[in-house]
Amino acid sequence: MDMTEVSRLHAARAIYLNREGAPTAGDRWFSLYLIAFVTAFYITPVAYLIGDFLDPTLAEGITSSEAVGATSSTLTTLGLAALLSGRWVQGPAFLTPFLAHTLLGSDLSRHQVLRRPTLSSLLAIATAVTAVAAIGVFALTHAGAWPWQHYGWLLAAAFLLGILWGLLSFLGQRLSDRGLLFTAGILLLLAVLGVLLPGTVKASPFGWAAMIWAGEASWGPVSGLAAVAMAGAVLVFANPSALEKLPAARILAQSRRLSDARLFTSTGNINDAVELFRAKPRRRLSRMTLGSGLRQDAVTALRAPLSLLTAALFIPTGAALLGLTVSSVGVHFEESRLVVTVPLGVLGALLIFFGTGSLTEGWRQVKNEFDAAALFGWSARRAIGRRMLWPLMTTTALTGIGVGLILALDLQGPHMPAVQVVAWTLGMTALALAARFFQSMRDRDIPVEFLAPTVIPGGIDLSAVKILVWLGDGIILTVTGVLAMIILPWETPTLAVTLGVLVLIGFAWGWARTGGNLLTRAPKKSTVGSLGA
Amino acid sequence: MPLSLHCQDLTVTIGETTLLTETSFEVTDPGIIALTGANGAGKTTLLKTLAGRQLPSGGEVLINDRTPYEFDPTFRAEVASLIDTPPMARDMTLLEQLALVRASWGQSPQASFQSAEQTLQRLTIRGLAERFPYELSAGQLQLFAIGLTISRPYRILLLDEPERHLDTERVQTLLQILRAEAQAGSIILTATHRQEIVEGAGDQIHLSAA
Repeated sequence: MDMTEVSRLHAARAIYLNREGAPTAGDRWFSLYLIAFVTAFYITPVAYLIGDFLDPTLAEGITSSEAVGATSSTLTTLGLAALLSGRWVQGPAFLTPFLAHTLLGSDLSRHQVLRRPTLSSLLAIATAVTAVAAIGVFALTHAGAWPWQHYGWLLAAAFLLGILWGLLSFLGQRLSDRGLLFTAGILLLLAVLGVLLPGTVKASPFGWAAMIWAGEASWGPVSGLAAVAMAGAVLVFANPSALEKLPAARILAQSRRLSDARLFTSTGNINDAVELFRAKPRRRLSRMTLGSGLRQDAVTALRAPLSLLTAALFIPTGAALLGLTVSSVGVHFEESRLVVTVPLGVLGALLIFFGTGSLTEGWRQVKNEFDAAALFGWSARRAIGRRMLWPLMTTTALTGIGVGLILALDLQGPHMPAVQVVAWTLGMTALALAARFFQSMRDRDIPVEFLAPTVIPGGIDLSAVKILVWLGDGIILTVTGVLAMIILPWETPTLAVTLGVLVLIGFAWGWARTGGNLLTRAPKKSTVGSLGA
Repeated sequence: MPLSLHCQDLTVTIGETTLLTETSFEVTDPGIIALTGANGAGKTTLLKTLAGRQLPSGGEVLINDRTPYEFDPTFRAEVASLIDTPPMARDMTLLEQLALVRASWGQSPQASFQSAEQTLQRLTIRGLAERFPYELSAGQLQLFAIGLTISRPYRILLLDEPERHLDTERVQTLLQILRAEAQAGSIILTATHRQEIVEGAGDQIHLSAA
């Protein structure tokens, strides 16, 4: 037992790497082949086409000097999201549950144990950010937003930003509650200042990145970003207490959750995987949940503030993207621009759909209320009616903020009147809500008959397709709606009817899934009394 | 090097709920101590506090004259615990997992595998060495969890109902292992509801319900 810590770790790692179920070299090569294949034959051509058809005015608009403040705020907000996700989703100090339990419970220095996996995670985050930036920046550069010489600076900035976001995620994982709140407050302040006082961005690394984005500078801000990233990395890796004082319970809980989610996903149990990441009620407000449906839902949302924050970020962002999409399809529909409008519109609609998740907790509970409707003394119609107000009000308000921002910044272009932009965006939001209702009302488990083989002529079994459609029914309805709006000929009555029918299908089919009867009256009081007795 | 468990007027409360009422005891000699009490008496809370996973609300707790603190490597070296089911690697055999635990504490990989085989032999599950955890029954998993816990060196061992899922014969095997570990110089504090373990232990601490 006189081995050094390094050799102890090396021995444990050797056993782990040579384990029975370890991926083979062939598995790794196949993964690399898939990445190369998708990059070469899908991502690169699509990025090229986006650049080809991107409106140069739009490209110049979002990369202009006037956009520096907004860009800086967006980058800072993403930093805030990284900080919070490091605490509540997954931070960069990651080990598999078994290794976390074994190695963090030993007398090995945690600095020694966690240094390598944390560094790998930081580099993986930075690489992923650079890869995403490479695609987007390629398209924008191709559209003429910057000279090609600037491409390298933008990629360097993206890599350094990835490191900064990774470090913020680490801070989220490492800091105490008070430290986390303080850091989040500073980031929020920087984000707000970026919009209100754009001159202040020169004092923030995210502002430097925004200046590179706007083509205002290159060498100075990049070296500034590099210095901040380097200083952060030195603080994490050269200061032993940074990794040494990471609570094992937090790392283990995150690692267990991710591992379980991977297992659920691999077996098709997406609901269970998502459930693992759903925010748990944190505040003791349970007594306040009594009362009207609106109050009940509002308090439920307040008990999971992070989830509420996600909705507050996702829905306005999605509405802004939808606003941009509808204003650019409009009467000036061009088939060649689908490559831009389709991804933009689908992303916007999906952001709204996912954002509504935390606002519709009441819908997920409402099926239980149907079963107990007699006890409550209300009809199924009323049970669901009282849980409608909160999602409708909040989603409409948040959509209004997003689309309002587009109108305020005058980004909607000259093709469509502002009223129509607002109306179509709200229509799409209604569809996303209908899809959410449709999904919330289904049973938790896959219907047994879906598991039986469905063989079509030619011997092909379609049961897997049925399961996939069942799992993603809400998403499919949302995407169908937004695609209809983008692809169908732009005639207001046709589109309005299509959208209206889809919204109706969402709510009506969702209602049908509950088995509730709209016409059934509330049970009489005497029935309630006898049940209570 | 001192060897002791010391609790003085230890209490744990969360909000308005008392999880552990005032508890005092001192253990200074190696041996098995059975921790008994009704459900909700605070056995698990006491074990978690001793393991440094739960902060006390009042009183004092010392392990080998030091306050339990997870960031202290010496504390981690001296205290092993099996309070919840430990995570197991789905893609590693039982033998590989036990060997990895041994290797992480300084044994060479070759010696680690030999020790791992001996541990499985002691637990009467040598035949399962090449199996994966998902191939085991609940009782076999419990024996393996015990194996993972005792594969590392320690001076104090904290166990929460280690007899879970075990038949009478395996409970006797467990008792034999615990006796051998105690004779090697360790303090073993085990929460239990099984009379055989209480009788097999040298001492008993009984907690009254809060």
